[in-house]
Amino acid sequence: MRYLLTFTYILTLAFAYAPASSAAPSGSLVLKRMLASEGSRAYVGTQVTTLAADSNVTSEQKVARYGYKGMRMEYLSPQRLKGEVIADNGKVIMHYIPSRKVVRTHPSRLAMQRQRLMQMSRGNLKAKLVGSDRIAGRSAYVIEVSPVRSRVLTRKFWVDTATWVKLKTEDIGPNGAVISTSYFKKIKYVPSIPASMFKVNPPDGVRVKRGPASASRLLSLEQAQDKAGFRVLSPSYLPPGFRFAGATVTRFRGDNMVAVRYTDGMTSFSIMQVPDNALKPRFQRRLRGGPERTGAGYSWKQNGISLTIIGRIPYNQITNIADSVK
Amino acid sequence: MNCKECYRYLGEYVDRTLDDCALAEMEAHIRVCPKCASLAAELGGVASLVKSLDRQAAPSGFEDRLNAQILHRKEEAKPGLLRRLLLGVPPEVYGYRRSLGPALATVLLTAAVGTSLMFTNYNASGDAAYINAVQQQHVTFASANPLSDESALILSDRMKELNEPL
Repeated sequence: MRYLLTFTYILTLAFAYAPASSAAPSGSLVLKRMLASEGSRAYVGTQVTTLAADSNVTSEQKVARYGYKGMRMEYLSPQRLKGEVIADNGKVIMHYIPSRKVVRTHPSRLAMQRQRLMQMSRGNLKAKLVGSDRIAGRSAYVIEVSPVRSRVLTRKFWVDTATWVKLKTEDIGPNGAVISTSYFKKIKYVPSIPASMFKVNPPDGVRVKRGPASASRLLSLEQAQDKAGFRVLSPSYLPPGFRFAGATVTRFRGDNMVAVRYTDGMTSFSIMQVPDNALKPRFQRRLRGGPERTGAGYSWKQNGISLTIIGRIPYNQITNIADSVK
Repeated sequence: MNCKECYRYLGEYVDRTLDDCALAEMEAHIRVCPKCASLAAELGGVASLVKSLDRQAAPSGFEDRLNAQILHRKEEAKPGLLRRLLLGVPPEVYGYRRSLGPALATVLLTAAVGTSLMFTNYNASGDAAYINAVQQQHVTFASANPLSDESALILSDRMKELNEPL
């Protein structure tokens, strides 16, 4: 396993620093090089993100990224998020929310990205070069990526022709409508970024609220079952193209919370499971009335376990999955 | 904290004069109740707008004239419907004038508490910590996909947290 990881890492570096050739590359080559650059390139910039489907919110963030070593994002707008800082040092994420005088900590996403990168090479995605464009003053290849079988989400990337860094991302739903967009207004490549950038140093009086313990390692269903201490449930129905990606076990109010993850390579959903008594009595009573949409997703009770499906997949598919859970 | 209590402390919340404990309870309620959240946001906007205005000195004698007018209006004011119902019923019409007031007050109080309970059951039936944990766990996984749009996922998650009943 260690050799495989080392080999993947070397391959990643080789891809990331390979010069772009003059001939237009294939979509899959651009995708591979873009993925490789994620793990190594260092850059700082200003990014604009728009959620078209949810609430038509636009935000602007200062971003710094240094491969898997660290990521920092600082909100400049909207006003409600201004000043919030999210820093990931590869071990833990610190999210500073000045309006609440709190720093929330979560498991690192960068740590999990390495593991997920391995899954990308399994060939469940197709990529097509659809054109070229200019973003933040840099020339970019435009590729369209979608899962081979699933039709839930198509994603378009604008990839820097010189560095292979993604300069713009567009999520497109099954009906062709754009769900979200993010792009760099400005980007500057740098040789490295100091580790101190990937920490949050909040002012005095700010309390640190620890999130769930690290769950960066994905487990098999059997491993999750052993660790959980209760029977972990799984669905017999999965939407086309989706497959099991791994499970995590974290602590929640003194009980184990299991998250069983499924992905089609592009989008994903999780089935969260926790013993009933871990939830507040009011919420338990609410779920006694049958499955329903909650702030978290689609929740219900089964065999003394509270389950919630969360993910960006159509509602009818969520109910089909829920009906098949045993 | 329920909607009624939240409403009571809304002014202090907007003025940021609540103590830490009440503030935490208030914020927890606002996170689960869209009605109170929108009311707080609305009041917060008005309060900051008012605070941003320049202070202007009133013309001389303004305060005296204002007080005189208030006194004059009070004297002229006719009793409202509630006042007439509670106090204005002549004893010769109904012999139990004294009991009418408390009876009406009881009816009104029962209606208010009932409405408040209906709101409370509907809005406070979430479990904010659970919902937050579920969202965070999923976003961590979803954005760990090297192909995911991390900034869109995080933004979506934050906006849900700020806007939706939890």
